[in-house]
Amino acid sequence: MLKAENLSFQIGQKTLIDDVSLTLLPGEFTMVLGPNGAGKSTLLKLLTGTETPKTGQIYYGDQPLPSIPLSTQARQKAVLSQLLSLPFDLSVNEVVMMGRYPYFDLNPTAQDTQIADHCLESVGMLSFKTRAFASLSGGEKQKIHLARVLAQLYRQPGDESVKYLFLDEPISALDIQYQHQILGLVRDLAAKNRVVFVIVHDINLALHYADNVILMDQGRIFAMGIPEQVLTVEAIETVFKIRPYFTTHPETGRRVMIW
Amino acid sequence: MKPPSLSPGQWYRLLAGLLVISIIAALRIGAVDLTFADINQILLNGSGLSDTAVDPISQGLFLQIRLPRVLLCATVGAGLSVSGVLMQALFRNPIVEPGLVGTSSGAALGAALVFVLGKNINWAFTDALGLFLLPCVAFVFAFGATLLVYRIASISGKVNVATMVLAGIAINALATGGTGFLSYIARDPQARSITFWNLGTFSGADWTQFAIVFPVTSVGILLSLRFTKALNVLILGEDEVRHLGYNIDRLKIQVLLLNTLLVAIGTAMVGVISFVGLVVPHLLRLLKTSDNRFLVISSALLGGSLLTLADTIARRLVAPAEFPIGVITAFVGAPVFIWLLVRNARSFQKGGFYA
Repeated sequence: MLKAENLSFQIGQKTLIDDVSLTLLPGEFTMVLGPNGAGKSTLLKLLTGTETPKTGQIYYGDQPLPSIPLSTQARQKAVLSQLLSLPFDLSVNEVVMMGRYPYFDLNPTAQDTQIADHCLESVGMLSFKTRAFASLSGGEKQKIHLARVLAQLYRQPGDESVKYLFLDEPISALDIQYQHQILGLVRDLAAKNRVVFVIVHDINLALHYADNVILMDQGRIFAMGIPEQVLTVEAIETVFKIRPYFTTHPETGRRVMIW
Repeated sequence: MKPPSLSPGQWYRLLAGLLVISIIAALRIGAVDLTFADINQILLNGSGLSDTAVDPISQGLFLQIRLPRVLLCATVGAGLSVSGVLMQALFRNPIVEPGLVGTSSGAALGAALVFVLGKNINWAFTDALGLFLLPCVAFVFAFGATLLVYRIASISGKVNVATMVLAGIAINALATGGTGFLSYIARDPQARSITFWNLGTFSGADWTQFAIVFPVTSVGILLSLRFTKALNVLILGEDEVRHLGYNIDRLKIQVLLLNTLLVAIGTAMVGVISFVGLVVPHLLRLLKTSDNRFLVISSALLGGSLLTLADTIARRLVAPAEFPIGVITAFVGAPVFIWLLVRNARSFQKGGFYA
């Protein structure tokens, strides 16, 4: 369980996060939505310890985040942020293997190699293993980084410890086939005792995949709960300044947003 | 260009072989060429296993001058190259080398200070304490200069390469000016040694210097290996270093300290040798890897070999006089670096070479 109490964060005079409290439960797929500049990425940075909140506390389980050693944190939580290009050549395999760094000393064990391959396989990129990372397309790079964080949180059979996964727009560069492949994968991960916190932009994806939705606006949580209740016509109109219409998917019967 | 597909282990063996061959060649060739038979006999005599008569001049030359010189040279080459790898990883930029970011000129200023002002301190050149004065002062100045450049370059939160290069130029100019001033106020012999020393020379090498440089460099290189994983993650970005369990602020300071240690200890003994720290890691990057574990080990081996060969040329070219080695590394290193620049600009190089 991840609990945040009364977080606030400022840069200069500008308040980016204003008194945010939330609880994330393992097994729940949480998606965060909101307009640009609403504070989604900043909230993710506070929750992962990348930035320190001005006020408020964050607990992983019952431990305050700052009291957990970084090396322990690295085995509990993984973060996929929006990454820029790399200054040096790396192979795909080298990038994925970095996800195993918290687990081995100087050289990877056979098990680490096996896990890295397994994670590449699960994002459908095993055949790219020896390619140069710089030669991949944006979407391919994103999948490799996803494989890296999967490798970081890989659990041996029998290990039931809670893991925390944070993804900042993991599917923004992917075509619709891979969007669904990756989100399906992440949803399965969430179901297995993981806290999953994903920033997305697509309201329909949230309606389809999320167990829990956080709608943010101007540094605050506008609404939080199950997607059906949070993503209402009024809420979306207030936050995104555009009036949506909902219809029903002809096959699944789920709500679908159009505008 | 298709990279040769050797495993890291095979590369290590290949480069270690090159290092051994360079050392043997350097031991043979010089102002006086020795035969293998002579060297063999001298080594046996020196280690007390035999006492067959050998030309005493050759024996003295070999044991007191050439052997420590060649070993010191290999050690300094290894240290400078590893420091180049560390700096490139830390600044996240492949054009960085110790000379560019102020480390070398800072060390040079510190050393010049000891040369000139140390004459007024009685114990500076006689005591055991004095032996460590030069490397210590060089270290302090080198660290100060590097830290200053790094701070200025990262003032906006992340390292800005343009600012870094400009700050490096400014700090280098300041340190060089300081060194120039010291050689101006120095009495003649000191001034000569400062000038020569600014170009680097192994002519003063002896066993004492080797005994100081070798352990420090070895420990430095072994410690560097400990940081290689974190430095690999730094390729992805500073936040990722943290997410994978390393303290980024501590890492930066530790790597800066380590780099300064490696550069300052060598520079304090043999002067400023440019381009080794830049060219050696770059040659290895041609193998299409940026894994710092591989780069640290292989740079140590290749850097040792190349500097030993450069010194052999310096000794042989105008024998019995000798050339400052810094001139040779600059004459060879600068064209190689320009070739790398052109090659990188042409090839499909994504990412931050000039970012």
